[in-house]
Amino acid sequence: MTRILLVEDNEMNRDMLSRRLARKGFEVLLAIDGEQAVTLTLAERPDVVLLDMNLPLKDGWTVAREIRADARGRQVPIIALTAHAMSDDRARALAAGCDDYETKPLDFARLLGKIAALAGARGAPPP
Amino acid sequence: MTLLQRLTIAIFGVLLLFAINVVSFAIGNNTIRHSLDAVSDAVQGQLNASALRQSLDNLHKQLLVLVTLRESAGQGISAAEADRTRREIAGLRDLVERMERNTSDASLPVHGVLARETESLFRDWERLLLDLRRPLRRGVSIDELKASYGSTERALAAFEAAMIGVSRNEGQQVETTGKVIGRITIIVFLSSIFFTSFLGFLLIRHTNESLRRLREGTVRIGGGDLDYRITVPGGDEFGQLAQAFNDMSDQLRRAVQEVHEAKEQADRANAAKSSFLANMSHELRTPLNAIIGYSEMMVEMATEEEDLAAAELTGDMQRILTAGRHLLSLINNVLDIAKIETGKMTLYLESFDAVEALRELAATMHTLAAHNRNTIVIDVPEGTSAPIVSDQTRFRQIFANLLSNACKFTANGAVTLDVTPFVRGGFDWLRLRVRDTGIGMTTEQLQSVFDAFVQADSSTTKKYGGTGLGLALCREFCTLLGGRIEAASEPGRGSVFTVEMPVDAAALPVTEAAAPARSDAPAPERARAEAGVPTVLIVDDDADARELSARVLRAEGCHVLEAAGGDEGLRLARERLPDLIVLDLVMPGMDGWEVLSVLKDNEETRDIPVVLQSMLDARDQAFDRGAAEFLDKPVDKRRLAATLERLAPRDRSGHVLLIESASPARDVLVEGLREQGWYVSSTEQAGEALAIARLSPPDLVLLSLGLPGDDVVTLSEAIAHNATLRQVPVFVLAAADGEADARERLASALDRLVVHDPVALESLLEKTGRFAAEAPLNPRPR
Ligand SMILES: Nc1ncnc2c1ncn2[C@@H]1O[C@H](COP(=O)(O)OP(=O)(O)OP(=O)(O)O)[C@@H](O)[C@H]1O
Ligand SMILES: [Mg+2]
Repeated sequence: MTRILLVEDNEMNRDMLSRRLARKGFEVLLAIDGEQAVTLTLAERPDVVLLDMNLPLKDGWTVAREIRADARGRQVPIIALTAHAMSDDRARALAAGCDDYETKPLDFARLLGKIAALAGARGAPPP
Repeated sequence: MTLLQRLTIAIFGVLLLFAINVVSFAIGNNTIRHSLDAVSDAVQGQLNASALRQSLDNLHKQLLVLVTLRESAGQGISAAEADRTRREIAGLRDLVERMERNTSDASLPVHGVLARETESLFRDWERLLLDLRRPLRRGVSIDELKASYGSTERALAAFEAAMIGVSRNEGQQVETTGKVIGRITIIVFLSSIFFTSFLGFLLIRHTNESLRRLREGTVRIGGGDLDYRITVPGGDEFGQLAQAFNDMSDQLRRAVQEVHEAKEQADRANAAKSSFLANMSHELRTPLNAIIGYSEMMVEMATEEEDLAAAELTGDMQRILTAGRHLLSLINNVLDIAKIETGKMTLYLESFDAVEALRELAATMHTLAAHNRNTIVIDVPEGTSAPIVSDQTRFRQIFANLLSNACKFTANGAVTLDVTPFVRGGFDWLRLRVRDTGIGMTTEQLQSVFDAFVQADSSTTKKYGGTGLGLALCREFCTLLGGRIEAASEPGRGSVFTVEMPVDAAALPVTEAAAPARSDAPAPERARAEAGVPTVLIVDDDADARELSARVLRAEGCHVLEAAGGDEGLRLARERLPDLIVLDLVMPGMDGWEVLSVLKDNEETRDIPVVLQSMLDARDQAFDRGAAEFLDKPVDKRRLAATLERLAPRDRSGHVLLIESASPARDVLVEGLREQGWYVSSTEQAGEALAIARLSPPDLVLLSLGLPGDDVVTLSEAIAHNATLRQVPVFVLAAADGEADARERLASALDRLVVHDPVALESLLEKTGRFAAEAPLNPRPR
């Protein structure tokens, strides 16, 4: 089963997205700030990380860089999620090491497609 | 010393030397003439003396011969011969007498001796002649004759010597005098040459030095070194010129500074707006994400699970509701800010109990407080009530934000609310404080928390959310309600927000928006005295500051009176009873405090609101002594305008008809006009413009030449032929270049034409503002 780590500080959005993913048969791990995000990623090696960029303690860009800096996290696919819709956000996210980028409000179907693509590329079978 | 004075002194010096020269020459000349006269007299005397000697010698010898003849031959002389001799003697007497006339005073005694001797000789001779006529009678002896002649001869010799002496002395005198004159002339000549060249040298050196410094100064000032001061010695024309340059560079520096500050402010505002937009986008998208996500999930659930119970959905629906409400409050905040910024905020005054309102508010905040485990304490004795006349919605909004901030930025602490009544300037006020024990703020952060779009630092947004609009709104509402808000804080210890509100917002001279909404409120008496054009008196000793304020006020459509001192200010205040007085605090002679107290003691002027202006921080004192507002100097244009709006509301319901094609520039113009209080209708079509004008005749038409040529001509002709419109002034907005022929055609059609090149919007607005201030406008309900 594909394991997804969802990093999101906003309670409601965390609840909503985790439940929607669970309904699609994913196993969902949760992190609510940047520090937790790094620790959990390195410890659990999820199949995909959904990373909100606007986080307390450590922002998403830092999180992505730190994960990529560690040997254990180098291969983990990361999809950045942001509520900023500025044009350079995407470039910044990719530069920090993210594999893809989605803006909120999310297009859930497209997100699922991206998750499938990234998780599949890594060899994990889609659910 | 001025240059003119220096030159005058130099000329006088030279003239004086000249005069010395002339006088000495005249005196010397006179002396020489006298001496020459004396010499010629002496020479004449010598000539006479030798003639006398000759004649005496001849006669003497002749007489000796006669005496000898008579003694030897006993023969007398004939009567004729005696007569001739006697005549000769008389001639000699004459000669001696004449010689006296040529004799100088100094030689008169010598001449006296000579005269006496000759006289006795002549007597002897005459006696001898008588004897000689009588034969053989022995009279004067030869020896006697010789002796007498001898003494005469000696006297004559002495006289001659005296004459020689005189001529030698006087000759010498002439020589010395000549020498002295010559010397004086040379000395004076040389010294005047020296003197003039010395003065010239000094003058040139001074001029050169001054010019050099001026040149250097202008080069440096021109090069941008505006702090440079030109120093020129002396208070002459150059000094004055240097002073003028210094003043100019002062002024330049001030202007540059102003521009610089304005630019920085604009940059800051811009940066704040950009980051606000970014934040807004984030803040709006976050709840939207939840709303859309939950909704999609519910649709999914509803289609996939047939036996779904409604109860399973309520939790998610609740969340959608919460997110939706949050979204709404965000949007409302943004709209409020926009309304205030465009002056469209309307207040509704009503009576309510402040304490009651706060209690209700605190109750609704419990969930929020509980979130960070805070407690809200209302620190007011049980049963206290604080009736207040204000806008309840805005009042609640102020404290909702203060309480939510306190709860947001505090954890495991207490949020305390207290209310104290007090009296200021004869009015009842409430002081309401919100204290917390949270993270607090640094002094730096404190300075800008009330600015729109500003949060203490960017990490705040990430950690606590929010838009940074809450406190900006609080301040605007407080000001609109006649009060104000202040914050004090210490990092790590907590913050205190203090709001001061008039108990009766309608009793103070309040905003124009507030007045019509409350029909039972006593209308401010003074407002709208002169057809809605407020008269404002500016009292300030500094002409520049006065001019600056006057410009702002005129642009706001006020009639402005100016006074350069306290006395004049008081006189104008009594005579003209202005609607508002802007008073400088520090003035020579009578200062602002004195003026204020006289104004407040006088029955007639007591109620005129006074705005104190100063660089000193005398805010509290100012309010204690009855000032209606205190503004920092230098004058902040927007704050002054806002104060005016609050204290001396205008009722300019003037209608301006703007005919111009749509463009961002037009929008800016419209906004500026609206800020001035105009009712603006704008269109880009000639037909529509005429329709508007017929329905609601404008007070002013702004017509752009940028419209298609036919339109302009049709319009101008229509205006010229319409009885009402003919009376209306038309400002033509022409591009600076070109459009000359359109302008010409216009000019022939319209005689009431004010051509205006709208290069600077400011100056156009100043014109329309002044126009509104000067012309009586049609009263028109808005
Ligand atoms: N009680 C307080 N303690 C510490 N900091 C405060 C307090 N109140 C306000 N601030 C600081 O001032 C900033 C501005 O407050 P403001 O209410 O204007 O905005 P906000 O609360 O961040 O957003 P909004 O009110 O629009 O949701 C806050 O972001 C915070 O940094
Ligand atoms: Mg707030």
